[in-house]
Amino acid sequence: MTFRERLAKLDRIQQSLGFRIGASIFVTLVVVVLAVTHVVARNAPVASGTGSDSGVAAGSALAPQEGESDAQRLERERLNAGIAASDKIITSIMSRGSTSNRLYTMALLGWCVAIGAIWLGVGLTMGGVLVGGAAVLLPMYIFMPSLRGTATLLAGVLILFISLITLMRVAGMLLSAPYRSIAIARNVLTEATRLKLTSIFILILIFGLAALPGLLDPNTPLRYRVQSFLQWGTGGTFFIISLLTVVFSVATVAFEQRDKVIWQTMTKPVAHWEYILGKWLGVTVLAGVLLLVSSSGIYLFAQYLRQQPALGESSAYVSGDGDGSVTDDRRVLETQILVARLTKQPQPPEVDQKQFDLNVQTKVEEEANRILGSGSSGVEAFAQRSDEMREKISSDLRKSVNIAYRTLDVGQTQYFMFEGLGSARNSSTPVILRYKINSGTDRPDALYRLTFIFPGVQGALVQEVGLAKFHYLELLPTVVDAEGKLVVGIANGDFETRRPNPFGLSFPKDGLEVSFSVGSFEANFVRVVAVLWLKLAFLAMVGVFMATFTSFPVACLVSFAIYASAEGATFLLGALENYRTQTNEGQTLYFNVGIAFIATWISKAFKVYSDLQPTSRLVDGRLLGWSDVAQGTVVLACWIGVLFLAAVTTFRRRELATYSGNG
Amino acid sequence: MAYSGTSSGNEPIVVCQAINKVFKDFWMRDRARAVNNLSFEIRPREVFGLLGPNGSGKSTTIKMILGLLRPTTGRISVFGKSPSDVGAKARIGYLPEESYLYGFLNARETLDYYGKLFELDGKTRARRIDELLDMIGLTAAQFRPVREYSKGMQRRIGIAQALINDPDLLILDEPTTGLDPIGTRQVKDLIIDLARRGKTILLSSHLLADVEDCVDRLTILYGGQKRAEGTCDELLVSQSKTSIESETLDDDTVSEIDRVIRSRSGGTKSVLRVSKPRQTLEALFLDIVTRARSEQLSTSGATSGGVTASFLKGADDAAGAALIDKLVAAPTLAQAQAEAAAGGLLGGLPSDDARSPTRATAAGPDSDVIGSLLNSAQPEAAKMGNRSNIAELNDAGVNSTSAPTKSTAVKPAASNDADRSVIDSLLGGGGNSSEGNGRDRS
Repeated sequence: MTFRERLAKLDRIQQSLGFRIGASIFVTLVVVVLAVTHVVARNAPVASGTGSDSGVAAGSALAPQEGESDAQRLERERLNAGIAASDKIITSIMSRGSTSNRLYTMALLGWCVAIGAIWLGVGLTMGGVLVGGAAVLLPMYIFMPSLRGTATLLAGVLILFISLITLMRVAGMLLSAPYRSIAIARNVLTEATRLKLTSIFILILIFGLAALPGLLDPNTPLRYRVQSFLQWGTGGTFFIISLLTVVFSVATVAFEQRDKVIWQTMTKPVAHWEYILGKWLGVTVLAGVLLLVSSSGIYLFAQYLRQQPALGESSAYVSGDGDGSVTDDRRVLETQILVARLTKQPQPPEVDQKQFDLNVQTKVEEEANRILGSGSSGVEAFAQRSDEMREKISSDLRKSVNIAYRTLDVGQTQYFMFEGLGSARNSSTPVILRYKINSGTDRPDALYRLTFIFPGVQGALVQEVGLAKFHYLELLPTVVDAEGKLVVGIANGDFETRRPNPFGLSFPKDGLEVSFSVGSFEANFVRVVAVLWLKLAFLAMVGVFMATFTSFPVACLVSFAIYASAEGATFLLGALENYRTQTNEGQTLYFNVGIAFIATWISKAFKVYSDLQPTSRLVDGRLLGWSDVAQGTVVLACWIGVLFLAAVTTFRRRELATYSGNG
Repeated sequence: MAYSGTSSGNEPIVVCQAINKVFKDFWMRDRARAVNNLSFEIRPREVFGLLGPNGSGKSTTIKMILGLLRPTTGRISVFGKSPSDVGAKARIGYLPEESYLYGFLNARETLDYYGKLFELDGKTRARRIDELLDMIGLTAAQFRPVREYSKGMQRRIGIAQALINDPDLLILDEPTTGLDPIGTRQVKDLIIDLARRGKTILLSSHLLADVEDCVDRLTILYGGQKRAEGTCDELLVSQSKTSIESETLDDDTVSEIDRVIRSRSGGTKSVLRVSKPRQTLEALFLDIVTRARSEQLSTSGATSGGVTASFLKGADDAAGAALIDKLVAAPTLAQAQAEAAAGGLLGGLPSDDARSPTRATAAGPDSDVIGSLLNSAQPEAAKMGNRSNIAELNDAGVNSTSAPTKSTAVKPAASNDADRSVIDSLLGGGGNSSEGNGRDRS
């Protein structure tokens, strides 16, 4: 029997029903035995309570004192509420370090993967690859310290490849129905795995992702390592997959027309819409599989990082002080990054509308006088632009008011109110105040002192901060009142020492906000992946549409331009606010008007796409809510639908055969 | 849903009415007029040939029939519908002039993909794929990527994909391009076989021999215009000559024949040419390969195959299978010998055909009739051994000394009754009535 025949026999065995049932029973038994062993070992008496499951040092509540006044009682109750909230936060953090939950989760996950592989008919293949990989990599890791990095990298690559093969098999099974669009989609999937073009992208993705953990500096605080990994992992993989999506969606349609293979397909009973749908579906499923593989890797490694000691910890979740406290690094990681926080901006300042309208009118008149003074051409220009001018003056004035509201002169105090924080009051995570200040030229060596005042709380908090950087202030949930409001006073200077800062300062548009945890990192991660997939589905349709009427290079270039425009739409829209369409003398710059019109149209069209910002939200621990996902889904689905109709229309009008000169 | 059904009635399957095709350049200026005011019809159950040199408009016409191109003016209907109609396409099988296949798929995956496009269920697909692979002789190479195939092997896969839906209308554009003589013979026999089953076939080629062997009716194009149209007999039978074929004759006998002709015609007619027929290269090649295969020499390319897939013979149901078994049980020795002599009618080895259970079912339950038809449908190679001489008689009485190159015996036209009586007397009343183009249709 030849080697190939042996492999074929093994393949037949792993696909047999008997093997599947037997292997499933075996794997289940192994998992159950391991779980029982762990439970028994865990319940055995231990000498000390050290370790990640050790108890948490709870704060002691203040006892009532004899003869305390009402004011003292209220203050004591306020302090006790703070202590209780603080204990709740610490308990919540420490519970995440439970090894039991982690082990049970991993065991369940492993069991699911093993059963999935067995019933997909690749149980022996996967088992063989894993055992073979372990046989090579474990000795490498244990006995050759200099090759540990390489062994880790190869292990990562191995796991990612196994995941990819398994998921591709699942996708292939899902696309096995004998329907035309699905058959075309399945063919696209097969094409992707066998073409060099796509294989290169997949290799870059897998090796890049596997190598990324090795590039993290182990000496940096854990929260930064996790953030860096999430940033590069999620952002980098999305970038690579989006490039692949664009290139492959264009290639699969354009090359088929170039090589005339499409003749064979379109002379079968395939409607034009079925062809376009099939191509798009295939690329979208491929993008989904790759995204699922990489996001699973990212999630698992983020969890691995989470279990590493943070700065100041002797081991994961155990403070180096040994007092059961939570280190700053760990606290920030657990309460600000690996969570899903809802963000609130301060309420805009209340404006006297009458006075506002009056000011607008005054400004309009001043501008009119200036333009009308330039003669009859000025009269005409004013007649054409009066409404537009009023709108712009009104908009500029409102911006000025907002900027003034966010600007603090030397020694000035401003109160900002945040609403809708009701659920934060009972949360087990702190309320985070994030702020950034600008002053003058934002000298990097300048340090400013800010005083934070919370009504109802004695004393004030002074912070010394650098310019043009984000800073965070953790607040106990008890600072939020019963109506879900939080009022924060901020003074430009140190109130305790009565020392003002040298210059005035301002908070930029995104420079002042509070946030609080409303969901888990895991749920947020799932939503982020869903949004990324949605974006890839949109890009796939862009590529397919372009390839229906342009050649491969042209279609790629235009698709990439649309991709870049979509990603940068929010930035572009902001930049357009300062784009000049007329001279100081009021003369229209028609070329600039054209550019502005196109850029504005594109930016508005893709604003929802750009505003989703899934990666940055994940890295910052900000919530990407289901409403955001739904909104993005609706808008992008509409775009996909429009492009689909355009692609089908274009495709129907095309003659797929061309003049060959041979008659 | 999978489309099915066969044509009924005598409505034309394909109608082209005054079609023109003008290709334009980027600036919409006329670049080439590929088809010029072309009209023709393809009737149900006929093999229609589209002949012409390169650039005559054959492929363009076919692409318009398939909806890959739109006529600039004129009207085309296929099965009474627009060429782009999905329902019409479901009944068409198309083999393009070159093999445009997905190089990353293997043969089996290729056929499976195209089977899915016809929404055939998994069981039907698997059965048809097995039969087609067997028919085209690629069963052993079915798991190799198509890009690794030779041109001929790719051509075979192209043929198989065109047949996966058991089409009512089969459009073959230069089907024998890239095929070896065996493959060429197989394709011709396949066409004949399918035509016998009532399929309509449009065959385009510039290889005249290919067309002549198969078609009922043909149109000859040049410069996008129709130059001639009619049946093969109408276009090919020479009304001014008579050919006689017999065992080897000595010079005296030939002189005697010449004398009889001269005396009967009053000296106006005579024997123009006397020669011994040459075996064709195709026949020689087929004979050599057949013998090599019988010696079981190995090859990495396509194997013999050649047994028409049973679903193409209408044997897709259980009743058909039972019928096959019944018919297989009684193939006559004469039939087996005739098939062996033909090198396997569908290109298989004699031994393949002799043991094939489906071979005898090709024309349905009337096995005797089928046997006689298949006998008469043998290629010339099978009959050549019995012939030794060809004489051509010219009504004009002009002698020719050039060596004969064509070995086809032409059936005498009905109008030459006087000549026929002369021949009969010379041959002792036993005139050879075999069909010249080697095919018969029930």
